[in-house]
Amino acid sequence: MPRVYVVREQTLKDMETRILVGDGVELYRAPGVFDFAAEQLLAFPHEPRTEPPKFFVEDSRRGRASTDFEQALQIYEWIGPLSETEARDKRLWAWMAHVPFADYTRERWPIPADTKEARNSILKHWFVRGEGRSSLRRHSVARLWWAIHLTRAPWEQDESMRVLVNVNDPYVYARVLLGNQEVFFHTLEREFGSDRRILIALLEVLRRSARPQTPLVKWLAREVNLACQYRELHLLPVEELIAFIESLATLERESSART
Amino acid sequence: MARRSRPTSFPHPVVGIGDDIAGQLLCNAPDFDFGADTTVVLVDGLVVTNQTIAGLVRDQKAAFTVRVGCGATYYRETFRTHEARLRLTLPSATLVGDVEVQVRVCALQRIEQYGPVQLHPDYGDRTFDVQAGDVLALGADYALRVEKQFDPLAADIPSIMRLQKGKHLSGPFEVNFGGEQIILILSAEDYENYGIASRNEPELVHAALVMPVLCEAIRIIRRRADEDEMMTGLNWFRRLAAMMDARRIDENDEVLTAAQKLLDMPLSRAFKSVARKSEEA
Repeated sequence: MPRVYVVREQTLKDMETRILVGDGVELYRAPGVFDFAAEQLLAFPHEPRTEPPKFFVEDSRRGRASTDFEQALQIYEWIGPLSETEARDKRLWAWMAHVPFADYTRERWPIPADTKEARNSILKHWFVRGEGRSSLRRHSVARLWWAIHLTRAPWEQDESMRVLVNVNDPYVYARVLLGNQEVFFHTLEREFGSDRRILIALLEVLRRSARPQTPLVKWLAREVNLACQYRELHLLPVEELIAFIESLATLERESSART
Repeated sequence: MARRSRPTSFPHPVVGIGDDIAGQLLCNAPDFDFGADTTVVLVDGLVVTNQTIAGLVRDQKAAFTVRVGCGATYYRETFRTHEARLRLTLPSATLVGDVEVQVRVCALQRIEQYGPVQLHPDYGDRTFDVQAGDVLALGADYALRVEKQFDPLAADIPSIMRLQKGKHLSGPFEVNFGGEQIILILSAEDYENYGIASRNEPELVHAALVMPVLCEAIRIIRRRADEDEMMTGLNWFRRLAAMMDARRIDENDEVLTAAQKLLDMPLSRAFKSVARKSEEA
């Protein structure tokens, strides 16, 4: 039975220090997993039933992102549901990136040749640093687990979203979220992205729209963020919320037609 | 709890923004009661002093709203009430790091020709159409730092034990397992020396003081089905049981072995520490 571990706090600090001031960067360029001594790890109280999935990552930038959804699904199914506190644990995600998904992390987020850039890239994608939303959004594995966690069958989490039930596809919104890097960035980076009701309503509008997703999500994220300052969108019934965001999408279409 | 306000511009006059409308939205600082599984948040003393808005709340056309947000766990939810008091029960797992609480009054339906009393004279007789969800009054924003309540993986034994100075000048230490934490009562003499020892030789303190107490605590956990049923609700009992589960320590492990695993082999650490210091000397 495969085991899941977390990297001890002190080891984590040592690893980060080695990247910042030592020769750590070079270790990340070599293929393969990182070795940890038993005393550097703690067993995580979740036991996956299978071996971790192996991923093939395409070379091109677009190609690397094109399989995010399928990989997210496999990672979520392998790790399983966790409590939010567990899924916030930087020690867990460090182990994930350095052991079962080390090659994946290296291929999905290639390490730049420049040492300073390499250092930043490693700290962003192999470690969860800080407590803000962006720290999880950047981590190679955490971002995929959280994308599924935040969007999976929302009608099961919130009675008010039963109007959106899609019995055939509990991952309908994960597909939208991970289908375009800009959607992922502009929703989860902003504060409203933490409100599941608003996030799902926005993803539903994107799902229904035939407009190019990148300019639309940039527009909607900005406008929804602004509306949240003077309006408690969470209080609206989901259908009204969707209608409101659709009215914002109409403005984007009109604005785009004028330019 | 820090209290802070956020200046924001609104498309309609709002209580709490400059001198748009006379009045205030008041409440007491939220009270958090953290439990292992759920956290109770109590916001009381909710009152809005502008008569028009107070009337809308009374008529259930508007409500006091409390938005709880935690960026670290992607959690944000807004709750509402028409009463002066709101009691929320939230999953503790969603609250870690910086937690924000924002208190508002918001419209629950479209209100046409909204013209609150005591509007700033510059507005004259002007009225506004307000949408469902629009903020009518702005209260304080509160920020709270929530440390992770309990991490069973860290096997944080000090979190379940507390040292106390006893009334006896010298002699053996005593232990009280009856409270939320295990209390180790040292003689006055040992208590004085403990500070020096724990700074210089923490491994020895683990081996000589914490280890035997932990052995006894594990024995108590294993007897819980019998005479110690009252203890199962105690904080130290639940935490220690969770630490043992997390480390996969079960009935097959001898008590001594279990305690050594939880303390990361204190005797070996103590020997290594002494050897290292001898070499350095």
